[in-house]
Amino acid sequence: MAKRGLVYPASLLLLLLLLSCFAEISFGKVLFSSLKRTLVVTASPKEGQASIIRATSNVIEFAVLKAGEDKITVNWGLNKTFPAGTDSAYKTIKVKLCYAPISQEDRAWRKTKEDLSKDKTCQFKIVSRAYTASDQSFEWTVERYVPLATYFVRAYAYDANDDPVAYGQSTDGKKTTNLFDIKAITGRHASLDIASICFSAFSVVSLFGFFYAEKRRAKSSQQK
Amino acid sequence: MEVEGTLTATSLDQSKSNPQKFALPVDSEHKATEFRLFSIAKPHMRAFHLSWVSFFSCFVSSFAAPPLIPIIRDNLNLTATDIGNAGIASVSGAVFARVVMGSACDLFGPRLASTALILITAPAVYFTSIANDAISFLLVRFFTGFSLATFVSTQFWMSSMFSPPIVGAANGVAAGWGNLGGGATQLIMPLVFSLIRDIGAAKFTAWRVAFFVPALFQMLSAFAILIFGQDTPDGNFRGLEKSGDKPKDKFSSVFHHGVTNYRGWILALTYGYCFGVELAVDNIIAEYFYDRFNLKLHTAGIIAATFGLANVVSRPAGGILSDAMAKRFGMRGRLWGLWVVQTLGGVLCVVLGQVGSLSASIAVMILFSFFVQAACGLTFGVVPFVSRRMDAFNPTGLDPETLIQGGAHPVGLTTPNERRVESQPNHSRKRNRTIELFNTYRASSCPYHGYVVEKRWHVRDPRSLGVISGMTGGGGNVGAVLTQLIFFKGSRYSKETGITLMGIMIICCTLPITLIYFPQWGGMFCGPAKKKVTEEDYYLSEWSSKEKEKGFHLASIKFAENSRSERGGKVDSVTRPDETSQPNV
Repeated sequence: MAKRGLVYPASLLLLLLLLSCFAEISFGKVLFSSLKRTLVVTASPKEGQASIIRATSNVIEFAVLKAGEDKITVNWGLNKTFPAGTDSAYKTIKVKLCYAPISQEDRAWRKTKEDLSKDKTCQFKIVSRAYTASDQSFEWTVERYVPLATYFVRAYAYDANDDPVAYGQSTDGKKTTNLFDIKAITGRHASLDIASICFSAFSVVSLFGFFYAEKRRAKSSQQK
Repeated sequence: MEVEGTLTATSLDQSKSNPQKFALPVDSEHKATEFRLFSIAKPHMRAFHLSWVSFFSCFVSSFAAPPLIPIIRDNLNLTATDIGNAGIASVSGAVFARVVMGSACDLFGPRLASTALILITAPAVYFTSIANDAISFLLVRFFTGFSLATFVSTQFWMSSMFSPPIVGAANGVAAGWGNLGGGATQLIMPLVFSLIRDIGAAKFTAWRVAFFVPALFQMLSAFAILIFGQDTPDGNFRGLEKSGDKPKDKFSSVFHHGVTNYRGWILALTYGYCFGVELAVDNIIAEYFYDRFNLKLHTAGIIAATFGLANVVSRPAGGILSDAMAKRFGMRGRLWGLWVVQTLGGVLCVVLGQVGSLSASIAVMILFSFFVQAACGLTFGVVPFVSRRMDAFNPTGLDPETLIQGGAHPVGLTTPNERRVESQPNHSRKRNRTIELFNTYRASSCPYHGYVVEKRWHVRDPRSLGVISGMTGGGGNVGAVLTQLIFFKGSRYSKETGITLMGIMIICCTLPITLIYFPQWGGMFCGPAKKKVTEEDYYLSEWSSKEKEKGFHLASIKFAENSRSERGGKVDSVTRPDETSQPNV
């Protein structure tokens, strides 16, 4: 009798489990294509820094910034060509550092997806501020954890429900202009290098040391 | 029968004067007859613990990179192709290294052979800390992967220390617990990484420092073996000396008999799709969970770890299931069990790639790990029965002709747990060499051969060291290489698609098991041959008439008698032959 009482909750659990197999919790799916590009964003290395944009023959060298050292100034504001009131819903602005297409090649973990909740283009937050009608500016020191890649800057505008409603980016629609490189830290230190080499040498030398000791022990026991 | 007397004449000097006392009960070869897991008594249990811990450390090092790939790929600017290539490299080195390890154990003994390999590959793990691009990363993973060949020395050492009735259990536990390293590392590395990062190091430095942990562990385990271990219960191995004959000749005849048995090839293929898949999954699963479900690094590591940690029960369970099926249904039962379990593993793999929610993925992955690892255990339930060529596991490196000229001859065969030793002194002028051949085996499936050369002796479990099991093991690594090459290199398939396709490939590559047919027992779909074929007919067909004249096949006769248990439940499986009268050649 007790067994029968378990049938209903058990089958309910099974049903839930089955459903959860295929359910993907996605409410409020926002697509990138639904956003309007109403913001103007510019990103430039701080004046006086050693990195400048050069154009030599057909090759355009992007500005190179060093992670942990160089600063980049980001400016954003509403595009004045849009009618007034476009920005009535904007409550917060989040400015992010995003990968350029060249750095997304053969790297599925940086892929651009239409569904913004799954999009991995912009993985680093530069700044997050409440939206104001006037143009804003922020100077950001490139963090040490930013990897070696080519980037641009994008700003998302969020409404009161924290859903993205508009964006702006420092490059064009195809993400080919005004890109910049960030040169990451290697993470290597001289002390690490030395420690690695020393321990490795010790490992091999101790092996031969043990072998030699074994041979000597064998020889001496044979002589006995 | 002067067993003891013969032993003292040919064993190490020390046992002549003072008989040794062992903490565990031992047989006449001083091999332990009991397996006490929680003891570290020397020399037997100490050897067990030293060998499984060092094998575990090699697995930890070889798979230390995968859980940290999300950090490493950003630091070294790796593409998906680079990551895939490094994963392939990590498992391909061992394919070659295993072969070399077999010979090294013969020449130097398992203690020196395994520590040599471990200490020579430790620098590769240290150098992982200073890798700076895709090529250096691939190289360090390649050379670190060589250490996986310690599997061979582990099996060899266990066979020297434990007597036949329990050597299977000792081997199984040592191998299974070593495999655990692939799971444990997915837990350990992210933890060490977070610890170092929280102390204040940058992300890109923290992972480098973290690699010192597996490197040190590996190095220290090797030192422990050198200091506390010994090759045999009676002391250390001093290497075998060849009489001058080229080992090449022996290898080619051994090789020939292995490769001409189609069953060996089929088992190599199917093992590639259970053990090989296990290695491939160890390489990709942490990154899969991290990317697909946006987890934190250590959460992805914990989930990935459960895959490898299932080995603690699943692989032994496979072996037990194989034996249980054989009891009732014989060899046909073993084959059916293997096919069903491995195919179910393939089905679960397909499902794993399809499920979209985290909790379902974890559940399916755990089930998948259980089935795929049990299939590994089931494979080695079949392997011992495929071939019984004696020189397939001749550790002296000498072919039978030379052994006979040196005075050896196949001795009379005895019942399980007993053996008769006969030897004939060799009149070579160089040394007073005594070469003896022992043949011993037990009722189920664990025969081994032993040789005494120059006061040292060792025994090996051919189940792990014969050509067939070598092919099977090698097939496992090849399967890992192939799987990663086809499905997990570059961006052709997303990881989830790769996993689904891998599952389909598992199902397809398991089908050849249906083709395995033993004329004396049958196959999956056919019964034994209509014209009655006995076990003797099958095993003796591996010997030429010339070899039969010399009596090399006698061990096979004995095995054939005892393997009648593979006919299934209706036959009396225990045949204890007459102990006293065995003809000598």
